[in-house]
Amino acid sequence: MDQAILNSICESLYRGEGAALITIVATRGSTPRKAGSKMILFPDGRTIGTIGGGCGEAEVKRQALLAFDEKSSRLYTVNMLNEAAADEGMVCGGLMEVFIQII
Amino acid sequence: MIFDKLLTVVKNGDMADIFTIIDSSFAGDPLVGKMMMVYSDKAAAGELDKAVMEELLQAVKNTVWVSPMIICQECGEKQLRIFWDKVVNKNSAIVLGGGHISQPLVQILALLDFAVTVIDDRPEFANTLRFPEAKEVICDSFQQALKKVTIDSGTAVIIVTRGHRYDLDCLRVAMHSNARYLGMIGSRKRVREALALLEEEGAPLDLKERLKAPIGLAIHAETPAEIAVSIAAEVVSVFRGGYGGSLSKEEVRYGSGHTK
Repeated sequence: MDQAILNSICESLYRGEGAALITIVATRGSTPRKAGSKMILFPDGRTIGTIGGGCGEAEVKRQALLAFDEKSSRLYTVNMLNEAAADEGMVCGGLMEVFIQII
Repeated sequence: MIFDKLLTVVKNGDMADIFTIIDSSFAGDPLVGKMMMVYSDKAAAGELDKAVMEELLQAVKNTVWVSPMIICQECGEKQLRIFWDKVVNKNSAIVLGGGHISQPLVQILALLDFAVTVIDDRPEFANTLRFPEAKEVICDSFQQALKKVTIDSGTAVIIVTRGHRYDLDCLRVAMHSNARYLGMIGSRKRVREALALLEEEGAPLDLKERLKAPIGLAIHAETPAEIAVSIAAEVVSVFRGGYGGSLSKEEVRYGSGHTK
């Protein structure tokens, strides 16, 4: 975790805004970024950092907004292996487990 | 709040371990999302019970952390999965020489998220107007300035001064550091002569292996910006443990690429 991410989290906490800290915790096969990569998502949809971009990241963002509403942290697995993923343009062909932490 | 504490740690340039509970065999476990941190002096803080923190510390005592990873831990009847991360300090780059390669190079390195320090002994080259993206610009003799900067295993040292003599002065100091990347500009002939001279003077034995000189990846760079790309690419390659060739040529041996 680096200073830029920590700064953003602390600022959002001071503002009382809340945020979701999204961390790649494990990957298998070919994925754009590896374990430890982080992104912050704010309730209005703004983000800081990236967990790889593209459809995989968009899918995680939707899950994180859900997690916001339910106020519960959770694990989520992005599957870029199957044909559906290839059709949607996720061409990496790997598996990525992310932790969505509501803070 | 644990994030405050982590921010203080990283601002002080210290290290800390971060443990986050990411999964539990017990559905709806309130522990999921809870964190604990461990300072470099092994003191622990966080949102977990003392007993759980102690257990976790015991469990990881004999494990060496290399990169972010998941560990499994029994906690009473429960099976927990815990993500083990560390706070990381920004990588740094020291660019020795403020000439026309340095300008695009500093821009690219800043883009790559390096905290860049530029050093030159000429005020007209060592100024922040010339290097707005640099964290720091030092105008001093190379030897003096090198004494002031921190060089560690997260630092790239790039020697691109205006003259061979100055390059050598820099290398004499930098070769004793544990910089992750150490590169020096110069033709093959010049580099050979420099290394021979330093060997006579008693340079570290691994210098020849370690020193990237002539500097940069082989992309036939000509313009200052192209040379900067070549150098920056070599820096990334060393920091990430890459090979530095074309992915299309080395697909099988070196992984499947960086496409999405």
